[in-house]
Amino acid sequence: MVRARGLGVLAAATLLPFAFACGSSSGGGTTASTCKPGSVSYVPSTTASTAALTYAAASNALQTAHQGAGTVLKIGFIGILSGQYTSYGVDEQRGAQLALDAVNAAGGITVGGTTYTLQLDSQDDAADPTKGAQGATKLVDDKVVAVIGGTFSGATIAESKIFSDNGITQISPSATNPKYTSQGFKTAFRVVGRDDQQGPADADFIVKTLGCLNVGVMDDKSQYGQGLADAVNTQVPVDKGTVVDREHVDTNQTDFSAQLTTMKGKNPDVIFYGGYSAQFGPIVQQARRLGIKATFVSGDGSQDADAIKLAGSDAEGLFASNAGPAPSLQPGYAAFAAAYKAKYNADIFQYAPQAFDATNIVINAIKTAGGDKAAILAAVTATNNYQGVAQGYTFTSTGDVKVSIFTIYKVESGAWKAVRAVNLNVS
Amino acid sequence: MENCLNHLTSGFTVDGLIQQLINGLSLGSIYALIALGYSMVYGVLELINFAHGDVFMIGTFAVLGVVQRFGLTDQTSFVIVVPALLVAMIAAMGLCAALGFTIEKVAYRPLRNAPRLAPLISAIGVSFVLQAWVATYVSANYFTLPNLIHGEIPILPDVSISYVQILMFVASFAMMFFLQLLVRRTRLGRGMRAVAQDRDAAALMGVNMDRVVSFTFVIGSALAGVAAILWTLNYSFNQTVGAVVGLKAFTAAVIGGIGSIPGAMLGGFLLGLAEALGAGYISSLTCGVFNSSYQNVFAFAFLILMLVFRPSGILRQRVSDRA
Repeated sequence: MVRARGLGVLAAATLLPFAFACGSSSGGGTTASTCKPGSVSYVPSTTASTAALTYAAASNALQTAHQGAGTVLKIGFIGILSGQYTSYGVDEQRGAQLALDAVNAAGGITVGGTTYTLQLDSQDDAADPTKGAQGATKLVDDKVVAVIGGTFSGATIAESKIFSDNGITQISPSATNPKYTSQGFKTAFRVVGRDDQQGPADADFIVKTLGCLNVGVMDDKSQYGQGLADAVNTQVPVDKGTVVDREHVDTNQTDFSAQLTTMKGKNPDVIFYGGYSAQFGPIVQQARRLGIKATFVSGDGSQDADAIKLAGSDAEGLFASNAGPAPSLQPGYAAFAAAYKAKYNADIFQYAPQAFDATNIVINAIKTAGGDKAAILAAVTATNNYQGVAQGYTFTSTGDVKVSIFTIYKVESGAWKAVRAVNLNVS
Repeated sequence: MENCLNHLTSGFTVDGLIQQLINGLSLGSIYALIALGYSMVYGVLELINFAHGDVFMIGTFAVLGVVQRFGLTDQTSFVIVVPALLVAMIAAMGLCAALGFTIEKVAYRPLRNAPRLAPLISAIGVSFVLQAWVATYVSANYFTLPNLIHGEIPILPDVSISYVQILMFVASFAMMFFLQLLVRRTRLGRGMRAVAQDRDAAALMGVNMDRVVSFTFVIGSALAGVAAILWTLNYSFNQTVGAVVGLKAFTAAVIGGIGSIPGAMLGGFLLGLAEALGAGYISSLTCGVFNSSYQNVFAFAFLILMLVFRPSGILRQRVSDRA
């Protein structure tokens, strides 16, 4: 079984009856496409029926009134708070803060006669493993009882060792690289699926749904990007497709013409890119200028507004998968989005719901365990079917989520639209 | 082994080779323009101006500002795009020239008689300041421009050269031509050559050293401004683009023979070609052992080879050793 250990596809559902056509995104190609779109039947997603989440929106006045009352318990946050990916980290930080606000507004948590108010201790990892390790050490020194973060996989993996050594629960809202939860750390958890689930899901989408057999695979050599691209690379032949070319770029590269020209010579119907939008957008733009007509597919690192902005008029028809259900299928999304908007006067960027859920899992643990980090770890490990904003969560023995949901989006009229949901169950 | 042979033959087409050559030359023409700035300053002051790449970066953001101000999109007609781009070029050249002039005045001139390491450290400091300033006050995101200049000229059925690429060659050759005229035919140019040959003797002959140095920085930085607009038309950029591209351009200057103007051009084109062909064919030539992520390795491997076998660069004119 090439697919990740112990995974079985539970359900694959299209959200929209949708005609996929390969290689047609920029008009008539010069080469005949080998794509034969498969027919896909509509199966309702299981998450859509989940009961609506009760969400206590915190008012700022109440929150400040209660600060300082009782024992202050520090919850750590670590993520990208500087550099080009700041939007991701700030979004998660806000999600975590909203969860704490709700608790503090309600007067804190009282366990065994002690009332705890919660305080967020934020550290910047700048998506950099070295800075991540420094930030994690600072959080340990600050005696946080649990940590939400990091944002990207490379830094998160570096941080996880330090939290594991100190017995501090860490829940990442967005790190998808398999290694994070495969190191044998009892303290490492995540609330999104893994790249070795996402990659095969992407490959299945390309070969089975789009019906494209000739796939070119590119990545940015980052821990996340290459991991995801490797997973696609492995799954495409399993699905009876062919990887016609494998190219690598660098995360600070801006001219991709050499790699794209080689790619063009191999005539792929689809080019999959494992990496972030900062490269994905320009790659698409430069590919079209070189006359490459292939359809582009990428992963969760590229499914954001930047990809559309950077690709400009070439953005139409791009596909990208992302971890987690589409906003319209997240049971608590509307209420959460409203609370987010009320406090920050901004729209959710990406993983704020997951960060909010991760923080609430920690808060739930504190409700039974109090302020002891070992007891919190035990309670988080035992999390069973916690219904959050995005989905329901039960952790596997490795700290992964039992039900991983991926959504594939397509750029239509300048915005990402969900076109397909994939639910994977760890059996 | 059969697989490897397959790899080799499938990876190599005439069309692909020609396209890679075009890619390499257009990238190289930008390296060349920036390399000129490094080379000229080194020629006059024997200083490696590590902030030069960041002057180029500021130029890219100047172009972005003008393009956004004019609200240019893919659909904007040629009648508006051409004057807007001219404005963008003048803005980028002007801003870069002013910045180069200021940097020299503030960061290098006070250190002119200091130990040689001091202005080098100062240059690195300026580079950090510029990058951090853009990341903090402008944006730390990547940017691209819309497809402002459409169209290409087909050469072979599957190979074409775009108008942007033609513009890159034409602009860089034109700039080099004017620069040669300036250096060979004007009074200031003669001053530059005099200072490059012997600073003290030039000063004794009445060459105004400060003016020559300022002038060198202004010209070199304005060329970086031209490189900036050409870069933005084809590639993406953020605040680190100057560090990445600047290092390549510096490499090009050394390969060509630092201090030599034709050398900087030659070095730029050679480096662009080495990168494009290297990244394009390494995988096929090594049966997939090495892959295209080694693109940057080529630039710097080339530099090392050059330093080992011909340390003065390809076209370095031998000036008499300073006493």
